[in-house]
Amino acid sequence: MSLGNQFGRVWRFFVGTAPRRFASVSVLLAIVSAIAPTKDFFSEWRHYQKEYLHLIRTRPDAGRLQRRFESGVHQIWIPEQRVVDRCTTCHVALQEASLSDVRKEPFRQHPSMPHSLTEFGCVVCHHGQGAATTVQEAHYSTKAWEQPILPARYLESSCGQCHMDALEGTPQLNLGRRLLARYGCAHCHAITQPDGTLVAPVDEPPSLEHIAEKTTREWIFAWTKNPQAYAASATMPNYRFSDPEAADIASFLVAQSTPSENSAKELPKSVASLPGSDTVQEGTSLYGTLFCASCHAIQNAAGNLVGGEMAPELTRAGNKVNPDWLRRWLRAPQGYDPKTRMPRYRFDEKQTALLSSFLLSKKDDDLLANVHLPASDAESIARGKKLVNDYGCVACHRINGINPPESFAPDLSRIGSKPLFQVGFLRGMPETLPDYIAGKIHDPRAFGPALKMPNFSLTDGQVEALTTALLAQTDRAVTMPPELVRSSPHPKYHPGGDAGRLMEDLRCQSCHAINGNGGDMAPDLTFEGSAVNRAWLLDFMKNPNTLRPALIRRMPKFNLSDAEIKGLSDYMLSAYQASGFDSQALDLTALNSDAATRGKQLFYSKYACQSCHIADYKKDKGYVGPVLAGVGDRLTPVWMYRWLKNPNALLPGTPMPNFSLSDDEARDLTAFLATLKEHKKGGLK
Amino acid sequence: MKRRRVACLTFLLIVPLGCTKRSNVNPPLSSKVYGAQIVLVSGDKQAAGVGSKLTDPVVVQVNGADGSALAGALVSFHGEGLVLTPAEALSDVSGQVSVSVQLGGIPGGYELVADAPKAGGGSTTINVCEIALGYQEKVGKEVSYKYCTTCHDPESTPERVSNLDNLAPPLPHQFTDGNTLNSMSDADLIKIIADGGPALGKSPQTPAYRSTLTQAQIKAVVAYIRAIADPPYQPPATKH
Amino acid sequence: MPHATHIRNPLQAIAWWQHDFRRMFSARVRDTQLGFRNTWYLGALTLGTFTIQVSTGLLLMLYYHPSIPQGYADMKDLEFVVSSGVMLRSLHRWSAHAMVFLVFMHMAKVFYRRAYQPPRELNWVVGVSLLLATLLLSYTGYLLPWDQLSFWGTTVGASIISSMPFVGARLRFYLLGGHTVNANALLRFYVLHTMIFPLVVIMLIAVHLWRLHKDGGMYEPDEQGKPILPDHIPAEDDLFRGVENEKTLSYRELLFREIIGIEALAVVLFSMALIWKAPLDELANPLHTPNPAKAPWYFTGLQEVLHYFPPFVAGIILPVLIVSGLFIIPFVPFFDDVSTADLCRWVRSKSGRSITIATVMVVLSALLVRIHAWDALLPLWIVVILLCMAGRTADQQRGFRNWVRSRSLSFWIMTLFLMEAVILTSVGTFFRGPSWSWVWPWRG
Repeated sequence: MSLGNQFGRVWRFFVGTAPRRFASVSVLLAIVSAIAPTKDFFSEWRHYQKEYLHLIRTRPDAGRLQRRFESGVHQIWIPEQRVVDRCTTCHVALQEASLSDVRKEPFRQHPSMPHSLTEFGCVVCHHGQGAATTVQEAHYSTKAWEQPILPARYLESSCGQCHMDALEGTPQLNLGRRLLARYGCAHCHAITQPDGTLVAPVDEPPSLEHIAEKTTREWIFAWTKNPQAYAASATMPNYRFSDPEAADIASFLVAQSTPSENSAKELPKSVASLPGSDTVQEGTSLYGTLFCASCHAIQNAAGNLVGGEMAPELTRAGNKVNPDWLRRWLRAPQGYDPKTRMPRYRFDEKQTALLSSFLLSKKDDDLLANVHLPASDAESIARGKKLVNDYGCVACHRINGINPPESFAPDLSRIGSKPLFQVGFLRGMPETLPDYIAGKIHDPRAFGPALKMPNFSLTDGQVEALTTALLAQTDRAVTMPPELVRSSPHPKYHPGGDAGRLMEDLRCQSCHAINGNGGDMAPDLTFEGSAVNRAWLLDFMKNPNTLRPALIRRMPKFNLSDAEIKGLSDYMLSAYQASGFDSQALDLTALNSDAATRGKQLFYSKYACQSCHIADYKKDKGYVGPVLAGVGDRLTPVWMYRWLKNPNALLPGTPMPNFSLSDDEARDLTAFLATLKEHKKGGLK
Repeated sequence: MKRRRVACLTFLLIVPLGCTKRSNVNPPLSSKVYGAQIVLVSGDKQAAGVGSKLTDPVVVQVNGADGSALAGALVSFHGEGLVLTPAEALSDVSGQVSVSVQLGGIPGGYELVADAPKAGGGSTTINVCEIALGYQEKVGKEVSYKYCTTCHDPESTPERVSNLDNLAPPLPHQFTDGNTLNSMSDADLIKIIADGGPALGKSPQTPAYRSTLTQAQIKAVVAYIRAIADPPYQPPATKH
Repeated sequence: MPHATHIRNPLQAIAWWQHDFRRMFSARVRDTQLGFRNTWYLGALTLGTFTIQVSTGLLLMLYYHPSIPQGYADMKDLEFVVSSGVMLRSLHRWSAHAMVFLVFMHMAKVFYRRAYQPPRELNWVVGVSLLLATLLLSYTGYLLPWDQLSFWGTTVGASIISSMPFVGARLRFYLLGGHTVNANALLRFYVLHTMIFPLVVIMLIAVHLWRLHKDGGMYEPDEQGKPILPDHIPAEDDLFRGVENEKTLSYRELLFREIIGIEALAVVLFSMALIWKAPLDELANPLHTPNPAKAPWYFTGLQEVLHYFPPFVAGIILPVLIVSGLFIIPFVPFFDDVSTADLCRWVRSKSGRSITIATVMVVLSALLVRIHAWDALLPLWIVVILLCMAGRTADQQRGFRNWVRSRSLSFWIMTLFLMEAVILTSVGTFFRGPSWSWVWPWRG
């Protein structure tokens, strides 16, 4: 029988008559219907659960693990937060402590984390598609779910959706947020934080309203072309202007400049009026003794920046500033810029002259050597004005005749949830949101020639930190219910009255924090009135010395009058009081010499305080906390007692440990410390 | 009929060959230069957060038999869980190759292996250890920087001056001192941090931090110490 | 057996039920009516897909909440958690597409067989109503997954409705329960899709099948092309007698074959559901319109026409004309009676015919070209070429040419409409890309 005939017979067997056709098709239908339920038995997640059972079979606690295991789809379900996370279906062992040594995914124990798995689910931190039970849909960007798993290096951004404070476990996020404030991103971009407030920039771009008094067109040209050539630590970004553009901007800025308050005042004398002194040497040492390096940095010969970063770098100040302007500035900074953080130091004429000559000697002859600008004309000024408008200089600097723009740059409040259809990627770059943000920060102009965002010359680590901070700005963060947002309130504090005016003039809060406002370079003065003795305070204000010799920062000597010192000290002593510091707090009669002897024993033997504090310059070397050699003059006994009992209550975050001292021990130590006085002559009463 | 069949089969065989995708991978590097030894120049024992890039690249140098640097030698890098850029490279004129390392997602130690083919067959290798810090280790690092490193770290930074030289013996151990700290159990470390040196019969120069730090913070510091220990810390086998 | 007497035992009840059941089907079926090529069993297949839809739909209702965004989350649950959930949803979706396709095919087949002629006019009207109900069922069900595709497809459809004069905006408001497609719209569409339209369809199907029986069962034309009417409606007694004539068989034979057809269709649909997962896009985002936002495939032809004409013309006038045209087909026998040959006789001379045809073709083509509707030209030209061919054929020639000559005017109109519908729908589905620009699908 031929093949055709055989085939025909078989065919007729199955579909020859109508009942046979019916039977064949019914069997086929039954088979096809059975496929789908059978497929369920071979799901991806069942495979992983089987592998898990295989893995735990050989472990010492296999029996217990097997009893704890339940097969099937697992989920973390929190209906109020709309969390349905089925990650634990495959990642079975997340909460099994005995599997901490397993390194094979997906059977690892979850590393230690601040929140438990059932508190918020998985997706809130790791992103991805929680409802999925297949690897592709859960982890990667698919048609039905755009957001893939967040790479591990950006994980801290998820903490930032609720937490606004600087947490210990989020160093990258904290750094990124500091950079956001420091590099002035918030001047152009509005970034709303989870508590509804905007990110406040902490850099203070100077006003350009009176710029022509301060510097030259050539310097503005060089600065605009490359800020970091003038000052390596400058946070001003590089706009990549062409030479003609920079020249036009310089022309415009000089043209729009108006005279400042200082310009009308009498000019302080220059160094030329001090003949016969080695002005360079004296100027250098004056700069040193005045400790300008507390705020200003200068690059030393080795190329290292020495000094603080609160104020502009002065390495090449001589190239920049007009000598007349400089002397007027040193005499009265607020006369040029009312908002400056620099205090009015009350220098005398000689100090002003020496200091300005020192600063003017800080020059780099190469900086402006090749800058030859054509004469400024009306067209150049008009072009410059247009450029200044287009590039949004006024978002940071005050400039006459131009109003600050509204929403000059895109709002970044929800950048962490930006849908990818709104994103234009570069050719060849991975198409994920974190890569986009990092790429944009690293080189904004690469994304389009017409973009105005300048280049910030940040290191890779800084870019990663900034990306982390920006990824925290998600839809969830911005719509977080207020009761779930974790932030400490920061009320604004301004001292009032005459003392307040003096503190404004001296800019105390540039360095000191009071009631949560101010700088962190100098001690917190919130409870200073309870802490210090009046005599010491008066003496200190007259001649500030240091409690920490190894630091380069110092309180300046302000040449205050006695009346000013008295007024300021009395204000501080009465206003900056902590609660519970009345006379009943400590029985001062108990601070006798026996107690002091016992306290000395405790100080040196039991608690080895000398490992961190110097009580006796001859014996002790420990140098972590302030020197205690004159602490009996400085601090009140009640403060010392309360501080020893619980330092963190008086200064939250202090490195001083709480030794859980008993009342007696604390009293004895207080008695000992009260005997540590440095005998000094004179001083105010 | 037969010719048609042959033609069809040939077509069916040839077409898939032509349809293979051209891969974008660069052709592998090769080198005729063989070194004798590969040494580490810098970049060892760095710690960074999980998934992050190390701050400094790892730099290795290939030396010839006479000990001088060898240029043009092929060095390849591999490490489980690490992302290495580039995975292989030729050494430059000073015999050095630099690789940028991105850590994996698991907190703990990672091992980077660099090898270069040797003259006469085989290869010379060097292992470089790097450390990935998870959440707990990061907390421990922050806490230790604030409370501990002034005394335990001999290096000074612009922010703080080291206090170690100001202390009387017995001097504190650096946290990377695995030789000493690895032999102390976790319970011991927690005890000495919480209750101070006298709790373990040691110097009172270590204060008691029980009332200053929370239990979680103390455990985090211990985790950090374990993570950065050199030689690396091996946890004791769990007993049940 | 008389009605409404007491039923004395269960067997009597069963017999009575069987009697009623059989009334749905004509008692006698001729041998010639059994074959596949008569109707292609399309009516039964459509009913089969409807049954699949009802059963899968009921199962899906157990998992689905018609709220935002829970509805979308339920789609995820079906995909990842429910046993055979993927299969269930995919089957529901592909059966829906199949039902729309089959109902169009059924209508075309019935038309080309002339099974709308008296006494079957009412059945035809009921059938067209079923077509509309099917389309509306599909449209309302489309929104329920609440993904990008659903949301924007529904939005496009609702905006077409609002282009109606006077009542458009109000009608859209009633349909959506609001001014945009939101939670109210979802709930309304859910009620329409699971309650109202299924009940309407079930009632219409009942009427459709009853009329089928009343009109004498399957249509069979005699030599003149007129339907063979039953000589009498079988008496109740006849139903219980066996078959009388060896050339007539009982309904069971036809029913049997139709069930085989339904099962084969089920096998095909189940296999499709196993191989191709029903698509699901991202969660609906009112702020992001996908480009292009396409309507479901059975409306893309309309969307393509929308590209050429303003919404009022393409969205309201044209569908109204088409639907009314469909409804009145049985009531205008004039178009059936006029054949191509008759048309040719109107213009006696060959050259005259050529000129007439050329003029018609040029005018219509110019209109289409004017609006850049290149894709609509093709069917027009095919029909015109065939008409030309018919025109140049002398009478009484055999074969294809004669067949063309003998086609009626209604045949040409329906064929042109169907070809245009197929081509425009294909173009709208496959050849249109961002901003409704032309794309070649193999390159896109």
